[in-house]
Amino acid sequence: MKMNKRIEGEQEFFMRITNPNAFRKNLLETSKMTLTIIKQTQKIKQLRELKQELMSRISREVKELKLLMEKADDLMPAYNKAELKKYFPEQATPKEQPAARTDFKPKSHAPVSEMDKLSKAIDDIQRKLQSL
Amino acid sequence: MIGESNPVFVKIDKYKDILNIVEVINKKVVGVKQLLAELEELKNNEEDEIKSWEKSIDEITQRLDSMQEELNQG
Repeated sequence: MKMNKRIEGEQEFFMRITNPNAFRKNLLETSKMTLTIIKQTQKIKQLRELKQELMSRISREVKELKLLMEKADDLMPAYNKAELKKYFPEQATPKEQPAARTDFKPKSHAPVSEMDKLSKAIDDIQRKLQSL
Repeated sequence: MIGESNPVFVKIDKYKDILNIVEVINKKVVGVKQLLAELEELKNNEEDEIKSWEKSIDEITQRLDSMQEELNQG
């Protein structure tokens, strides 16, 4: 028995579409736009990949900058207060002793993330700046 | 602000090294600025694409509405 065979006694009804051309046109335009959106999605994907690549490059460059700055800092002469007093007795005024650290935290064995490392490096630089 | 500190004396060779490094740092900073400008441009392109995406979706909605209307008229 065929599946599409009309059931006995069933009547067929038809709906009138007044402007079939406009309907078809709308349907085709909608299909076209759907494809355009898929194309746009691909383009956005490509742009995001480019952005990711660019961000990696910026990150690499900034890391190199950090290394260069550390190198420049290493080349600057290190001196201690006793030495300074020897060469500049009138200028080596005693500075306030740094307050005892209260922010001591016991070492944890949890894995250190990149963000934690960066935060620590920023804190170190901040301490150096404050000591200047 | 960093106050004035006691002067230090740097050996000429080290001084030159520091100068060279500062020059390289300057060039790198300019390069990073360019990369950031490129990133900004890509970001703007992406935003434009998303806006045009929204526009297309709106147009599809309008067309579907008119198709729906056409079907309901029958």
